[in-house]
Amino acid sequence: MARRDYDKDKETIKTFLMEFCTQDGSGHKNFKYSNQLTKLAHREQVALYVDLDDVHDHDEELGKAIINNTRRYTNLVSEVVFDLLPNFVEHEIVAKDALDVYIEHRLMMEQRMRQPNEQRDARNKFPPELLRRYEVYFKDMSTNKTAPIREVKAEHVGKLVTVRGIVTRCTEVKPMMSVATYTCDQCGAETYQPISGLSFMPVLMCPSEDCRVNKAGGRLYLQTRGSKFIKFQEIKIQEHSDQVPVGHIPRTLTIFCRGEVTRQALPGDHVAVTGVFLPLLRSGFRQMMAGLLSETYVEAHRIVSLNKTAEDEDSSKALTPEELATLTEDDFYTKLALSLAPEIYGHLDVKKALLLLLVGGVDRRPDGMKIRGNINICLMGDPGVAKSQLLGYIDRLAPRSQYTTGRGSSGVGLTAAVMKDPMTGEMMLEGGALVLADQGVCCIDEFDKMADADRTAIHEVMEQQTISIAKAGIMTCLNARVSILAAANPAYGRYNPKRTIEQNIQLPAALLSRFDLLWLIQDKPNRDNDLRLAKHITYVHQHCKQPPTQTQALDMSVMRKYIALCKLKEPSIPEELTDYIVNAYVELRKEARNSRDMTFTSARNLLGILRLSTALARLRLANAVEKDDVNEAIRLMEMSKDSLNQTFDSRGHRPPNVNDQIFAIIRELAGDSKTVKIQDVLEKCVSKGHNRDQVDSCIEEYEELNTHLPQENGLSKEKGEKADEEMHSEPEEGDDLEDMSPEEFQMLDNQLDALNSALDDIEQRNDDIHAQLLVLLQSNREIRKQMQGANAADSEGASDQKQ
Amino acid sequence: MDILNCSPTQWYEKETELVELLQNDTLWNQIPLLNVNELHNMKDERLVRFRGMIQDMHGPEYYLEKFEVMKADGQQTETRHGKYMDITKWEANETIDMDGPSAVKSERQTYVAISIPAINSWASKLEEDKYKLSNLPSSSTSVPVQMKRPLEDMETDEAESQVVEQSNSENKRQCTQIPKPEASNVVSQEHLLNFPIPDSSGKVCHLKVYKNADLLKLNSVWEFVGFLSVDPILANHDVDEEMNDVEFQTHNPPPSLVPRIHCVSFRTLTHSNPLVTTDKMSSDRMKIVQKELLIVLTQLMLGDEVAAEYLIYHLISEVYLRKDFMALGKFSLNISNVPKFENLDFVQELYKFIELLTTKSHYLAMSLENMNKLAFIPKKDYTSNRLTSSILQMSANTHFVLDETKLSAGKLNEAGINGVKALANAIKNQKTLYDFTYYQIEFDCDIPFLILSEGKSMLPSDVHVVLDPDDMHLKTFGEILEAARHFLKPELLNEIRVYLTSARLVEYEISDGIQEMVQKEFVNMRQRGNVSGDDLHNLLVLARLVCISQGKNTLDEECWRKACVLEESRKKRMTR
Repeated sequence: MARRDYDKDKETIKTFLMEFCTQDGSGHKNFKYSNQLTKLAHREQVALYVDLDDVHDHDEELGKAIINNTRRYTNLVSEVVFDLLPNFVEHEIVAKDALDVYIEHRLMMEQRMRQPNEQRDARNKFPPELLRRYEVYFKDMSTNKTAPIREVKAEHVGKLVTVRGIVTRCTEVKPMMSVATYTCDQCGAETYQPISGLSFMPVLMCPSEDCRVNKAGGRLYLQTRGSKFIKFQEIKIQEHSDQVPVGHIPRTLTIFCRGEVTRQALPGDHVAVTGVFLPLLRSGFRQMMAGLLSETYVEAHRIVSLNKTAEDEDSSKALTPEELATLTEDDFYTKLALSLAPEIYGHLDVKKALLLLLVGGVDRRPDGMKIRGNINICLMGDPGVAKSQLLGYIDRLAPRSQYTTGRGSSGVGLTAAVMKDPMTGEMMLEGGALVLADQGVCCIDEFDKMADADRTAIHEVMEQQTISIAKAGIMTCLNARVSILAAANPAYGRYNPKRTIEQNIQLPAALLSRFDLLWLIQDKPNRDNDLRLAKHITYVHQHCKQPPTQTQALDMSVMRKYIALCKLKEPSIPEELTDYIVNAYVELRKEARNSRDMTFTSARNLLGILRLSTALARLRLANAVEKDDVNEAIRLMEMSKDSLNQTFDSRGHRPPNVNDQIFAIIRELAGDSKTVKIQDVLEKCVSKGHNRDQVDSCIEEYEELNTHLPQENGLSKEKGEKADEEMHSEPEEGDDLEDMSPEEFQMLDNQLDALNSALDDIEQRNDDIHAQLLVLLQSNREIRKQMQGANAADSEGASDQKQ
Repeated sequence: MDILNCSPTQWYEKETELVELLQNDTLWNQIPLLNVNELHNMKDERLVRFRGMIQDMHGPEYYLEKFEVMKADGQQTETRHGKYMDITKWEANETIDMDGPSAVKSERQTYVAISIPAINSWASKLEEDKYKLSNLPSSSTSVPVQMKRPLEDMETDEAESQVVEQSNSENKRQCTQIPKPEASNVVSQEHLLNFPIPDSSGKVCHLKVYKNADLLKLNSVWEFVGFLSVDPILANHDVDEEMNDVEFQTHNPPPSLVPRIHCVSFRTLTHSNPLVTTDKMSSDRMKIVQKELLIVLTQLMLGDEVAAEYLIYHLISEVYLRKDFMALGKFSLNISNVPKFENLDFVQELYKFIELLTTKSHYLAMSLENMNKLAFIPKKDYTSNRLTSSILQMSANTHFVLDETKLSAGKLNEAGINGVKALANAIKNQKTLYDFTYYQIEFDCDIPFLILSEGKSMLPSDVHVVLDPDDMHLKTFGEILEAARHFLKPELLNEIRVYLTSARLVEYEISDGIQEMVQKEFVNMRQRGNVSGDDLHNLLVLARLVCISQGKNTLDEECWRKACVLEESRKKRMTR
């Protein structure tokens, strides 16, 4: 390689710094670097950041040269800036610290003492490092990818690299001498020694003209005040877990930070470091011992703390043509679905649903109203049907996800907690799993094992996609735009077809209706399926690999990329489909009513269909929803309902209506005793998702049948006369609603929610009043006690007097 | 060319030729084995062999593969190389030009290898008999060995070591400048050795690997051949500078304790059984040995043949397929209803036999104290920048015997809970999550667990066998032990040892016909009762073990039936 002409490069750098400009929107020229230089000249800025993108635009060759020999160019730029700076001084500079004053004095002395053009020994001259009060850093080109630590090898020595990692260790920031200043005890001359390494050999003999001529042999003494120190910090970074090949230990890399780059990271931070990869030269004995071995480090130019989102960059990288080709093959929808957890056999529809959950529907915000696009799915099923594996797979596949189990997390752990910092006593907000999974997936295993109170914390998240906090003086609303994927076991270990869904899952309707899809995965013997399962398993054992399916499972990274691509699309629903969807929904409602559906068909289902169909359109990378999408969405929804309903069809079992359910609750509550408090009944029923009116109407109905006798503060119940009469209570929303447009449904739904929250609010206030009353009562008691005490004392005093 | 006395320089010059030569097994086996020989009997800068497990990986090192040396007097330059050595020698009047035109910088990896953990004494004894260097020249006439005595010998051997050092004048000068290795007191010997379980005869080496380093995975077992480097200069550091730097101490331990080996070649070790040779045991012979083994184990299992069968299958099990969550072939066994004797500990007596039979095994009493105190998960120590080992860092096929009868009621602390979790995870998934503080990394393991408990174990297991002891056997357990010891004559014992290892090496397959039969059976089973896909997995794994235990390499109906019958009788007991 021909040596570069550095003088020419210097000129180029000079013009670059002086003339480089960008034009902003209004056509104003922004001289990026001259502005920085002006600031440097006035000591308002210390670090000069040179963006290699800009250098590249200015002179392509120079950009490459800088990357390949960064250290040299750092010095070149430094020199150029040193020459340029005086031109940029626009007003008097105020000395900022002792070193500035020192430099000023020295320059003055120099002017007074010395004749111009006098030759001086190099070491007695001021080294440029001493006078420079700025630092030059390069910012890597944005097109350069960050390299894993493992990939930084011998060929990178001397070059600018960008690595990613997690900080494992930081030393304290210490001052490091960059120019040592000595004074001579004989002639008083100052000697300077620039230091670039980690250690230095002090100069002992005075090299000045006087001492040498006179052979005075002046000794030098180090002057701390006159020396220049810079901040220095050593950082160790370690590879991310995803960069470590299987069976290997993560590698570490040492980073040296100087000056402005220090204090940028703490242990545990994810960082991207741009710097020069350099060998650490050892001197003397150590070098000999190590057999000319050198350790390496990165001289940092720029440290950026990354948050989790920045890490996701990888996944959004463009798909290669081959990958795209496999994706655009026929039936890619099934193929993608089958590639989800390929080790789990079957459950194609469930996998399809999970795929749609990963892609997600489109968020809508008409007129401040917010309709979520995220799809929530609940998987229920017998133990051992690979629910947890599915959850685990989704957790690994989704770029952003949190995995928790219902038993292991409280409501606070899911939403957010207000914590008191033990050191400062300040209140801090700490996000729970749902907040951390914002714009991702939150997988909650063992959803049924969760305490009721904790589960209610999810209600808001599932529909409003926010978490409101009003605790300990902190009032805020956090975004939690998550898709919830829950897995639950049936209440009695196995799904009991003789009971209702609610009894089987023991989740309130309010929560269940918020899931777009509910899947019941049952483990039932079925000849064909069993044979296929057996074939699959024996094949694995026979050939020590997964059987070749018609569609080869896609790689996880390809899936991730494709899903990221899908999420960029915002498909809309064309006008002409509206009627179709409305009709389909009306049909669904009708059917549900006639067949005495075990599930809930409500306006939320309509939204669910819309969400699923937009997700399907996204999956096709289309901009508009088609009829087929809607059909598939309805099919999925029906399949999910069928998975719940099929068990009952054969038995012709009458689904209990609301009143029956409430009656069952009351009976359960009563147990052996003959009376139940209405308060308790209400509480229990509300927690089960029934409202007050329903309870009242139930009581009224049974009252007519003379099974219950409401008393002043309770409810007495006569057992045994369970009325077998059919009592049709209308579904929550009457038949006349069928004619309403979806928009109206949405409005209604929203209003209902608002009403609910208002009710909650009132309840909250009630509680508050109650609490205040308690306080009052307490203080009342205390006052009384005091008075009694006083009375007693008085009477004692009186008796004393008597004696 | 005499490969045993080849120096690194000679090797470097004729590398391809010599690597070829090394493929020869006889020559390979002639290279002295470091595991069984004393370090001071080995020659510096000569080839040695070392068997070990990769325990840790340090960062890469950059060294000068070639560099120029300039003599001070003339303008004469000479090119030398630095591969396969730690120390480059040059005279005082020479200068080194690191940036000369012919200088080449290269990268090498440093791995920490420890002698295979939990290897049983009979195996190491056999190795020793086979490879221990005999008729060594007496130390006075030997080529000076450039090393220090282990620390405890330091005082007594002072005079002798002086003599040794004087023979190399250059070394001497450097050695006398440096105080005796107090520097190494900063970190203890145990810290430097870092074994998963304490091992008095264990050795640790730092390997410098020059090529194919990616093949070496953590916890894999290999046989390495390379140049030994034990120059005492390696132990000398700039005392004032590095005195307290734990990291430096850990990465540059005294070579007398941790020798360096500059690897020229390595081979994978599929097993560490010294008795198994290249010629295989015939399947007829295997059947006979299996019967003999079954007799002994049935007696030890107190007359319970089913339990004995399962124990055999457990002893020959290994993970043979991994895919995402699945690890097929794992066969961890829980034997419950373990009896208690007044003067004998059933579990410990049983373990004595397992120790005799298997190549690698480890016994862990699951007492509260052990659970709370022992470290189960290897943890990255950032102050010394190394992976601190712990008992779950084991090479594949190390039999782990967990004695749950030692567990008493009490409180598990956080470490104990994590320990139980780690064990459960290892049993269920054959994976261990190593702790890197900021995140965890999963490493695959293949450790067959045998859990002995009174009731059903608190840990998960693939197979749970309720022991069904016979009254007669219960009364005469002491005598049974005697008889079993007597029965296991050295020849039979060795044959069983070979059998257990050979069974693992059997190539196994399922024919299409059998596959169809199995499928049909499964469908019928599903119709009849409550069986799931997991049960079929277990049955197939068991059938495979039944099959290979008899030395057969294709599954036949007989083995399948036997597996079904065994499972049925086992399940019947569990419900009883």
